[in-house]
Amino acid sequence: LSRLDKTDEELMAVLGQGRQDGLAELVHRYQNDLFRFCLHYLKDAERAKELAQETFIRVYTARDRFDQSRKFRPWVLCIARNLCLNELKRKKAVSMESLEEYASSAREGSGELLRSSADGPDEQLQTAERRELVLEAMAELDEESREIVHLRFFERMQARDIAEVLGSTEGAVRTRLHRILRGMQARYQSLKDQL
Amino acid sequence: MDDRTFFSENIVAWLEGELDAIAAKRMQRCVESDSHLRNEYESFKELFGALDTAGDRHRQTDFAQDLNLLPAVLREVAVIDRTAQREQFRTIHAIPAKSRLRPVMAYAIAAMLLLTVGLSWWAYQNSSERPNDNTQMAGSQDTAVDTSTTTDPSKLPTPVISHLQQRLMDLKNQSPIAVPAIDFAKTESPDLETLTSSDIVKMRRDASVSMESRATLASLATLPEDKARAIATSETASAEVVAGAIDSLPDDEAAALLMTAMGRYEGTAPEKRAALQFALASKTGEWSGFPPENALPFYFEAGRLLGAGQLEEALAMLDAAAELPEASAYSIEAANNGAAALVAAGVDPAAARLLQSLTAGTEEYQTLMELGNRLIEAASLYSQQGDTETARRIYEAALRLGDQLDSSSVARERLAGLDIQREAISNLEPTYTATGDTAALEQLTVEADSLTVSVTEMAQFFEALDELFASDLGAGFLSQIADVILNYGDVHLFEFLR
Repeated sequence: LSRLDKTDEELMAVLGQGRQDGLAELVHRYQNDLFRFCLHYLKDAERAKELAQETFIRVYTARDRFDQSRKFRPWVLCIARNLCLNELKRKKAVSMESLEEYASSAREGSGELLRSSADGPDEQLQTAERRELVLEAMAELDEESREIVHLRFFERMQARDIAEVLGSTEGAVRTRLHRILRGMQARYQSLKDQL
Repeated sequence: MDDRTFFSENIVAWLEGELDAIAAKRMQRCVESDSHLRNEYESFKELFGALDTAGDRHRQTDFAQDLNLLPAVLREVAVIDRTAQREQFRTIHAIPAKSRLRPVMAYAIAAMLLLTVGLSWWAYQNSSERPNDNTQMAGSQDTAVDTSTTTDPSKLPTPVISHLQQRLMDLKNQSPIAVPAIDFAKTESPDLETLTSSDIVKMRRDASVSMESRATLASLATLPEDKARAIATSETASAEVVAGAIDSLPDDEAAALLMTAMGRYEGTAPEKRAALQFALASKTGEWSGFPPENALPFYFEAGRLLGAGQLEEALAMLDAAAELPEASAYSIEAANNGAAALVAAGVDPAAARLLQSLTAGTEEYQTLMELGNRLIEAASLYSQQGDTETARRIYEAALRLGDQLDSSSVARERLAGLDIQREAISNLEPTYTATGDTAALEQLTVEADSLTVSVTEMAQFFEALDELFASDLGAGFLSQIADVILNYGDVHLFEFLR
């Protein structure tokens, strides 16, 4: 198997043997995800890059402690989350650059347009409208609730993995998520009715 | 529980796919039979759809054009490794019990040292000569000195100078191991196909006491030119095999083959690529595009610029090199390449790996010492011409090079670092003394003390290696030794074998 065919967990095993090509591949696979993830917390693109980089360094220093029966992704997101929370504690005031702003400035440079699942202009408009509403509903959530929704829908994580990132239990995460989504549904409808 | 309560409690779990078949069927029936619940269901579905869309858009944002964290991550990781290597190296020498200094011996050495310093001090006090004579001892009496910003040399603290000179004398007399000088292009063709691990162990034992055997062992790790050419030009040869085989070929031919080998690592395996690039640059003198974290190319380029009389450019290059955290000649990668080439030449794989592991860094030691000597000689020339400041800067750069090499995980690379430091300190002592720079002399004394410890540790390390190979070693153990060295470098050997 070349390193491209290896799973994340197998690459960690390679890294554990002292081979840095395992790390290079993991950086390649996860640098975008981690940057986005850190940016979600920090709202500061430069700092998000630095903490994404720091996360990989923590992965390297903890390579011997990685339990290969566990999944890599929740583990690395847990590291990144802890770094971000520490950073937020350290620095109360954060700059307001958002992912959206960063992405649009990045797109201006590349001329790239984001893909949309809807085909026609009406559908595109409706999708965009719903997206705006749901983001507004999300913005009104408390920090912890927003984090769980983010992990579930933006990072596409299952309850078990979210629990690992947050240091909680699968059952507690499920219960919490159900409650949050029920509340969000009511708020989403109310915002929609106001339109 | 009525349907509406059941629906309300389970709608999220249903959409999340968490319900069992019976509960899911009941939810389905609720939606089909109750228009209020159907509206609820549609509303939740829309929320989930909107969240999925927002999530998709979030993930589709591609930062790949802006983000390239790998170089910075690898640089940081290199710093972490070096720190860890230093720690491991400190512990290595405590492992072989016979090599450890007993406390009594340590006290005896300390007492002798104090006595030596005391005697030097007494001799100085009773001598009619005065501190300026220190420069004569060091052979720099013809140096024109700018003393405008320094202390009067006659006011230098003499115990410091005595201590430093004693240290330098100790260092001169204390050589951990002689690395054989080998003309790799003119080695005899070994009987490759019959070479076994047992033969290599026997040669390694002989090498403990014989310089000639040491040279034979190192020369065996190379290939005869015709064989090397056949292997390196083979269509099926891997990049490692090509890189391992080209050492016996003329530089131009080797460079062309290395270019091909590098192409095979395009975009992948940055360490292997860096090792090939280093081999290529050392043959062609073309260092541009080299991995920026390694200071060694800067020193090579500075050496070339000094030879061409481009002093300002050379000093700028040395300043840049000093800022970098490490200098590596990639001995581990070269040894792995060498093993691949030997296997391609028909050597038993276990024997090939053992042979390369036991000779790793031999050629690199020569290359590094040539570089160090080039810098020291250039500095010496400026000193003779009266340009003490330039001489000082180049000597200090050589000292920094030695220090950077001292963090290598290959003993012979590290040994080159120690030897270069020793030369640099020997030359800086009269330079600092002549300019009367007390602070620099005191700092140099600290460096000399530290170097003495490192040299002692290195000598103990090589003694421990000799002891290891003097004992009976099974095939499995030999294979383990080769694996450790070819993966992590030999200075970590005892740590891993513990």
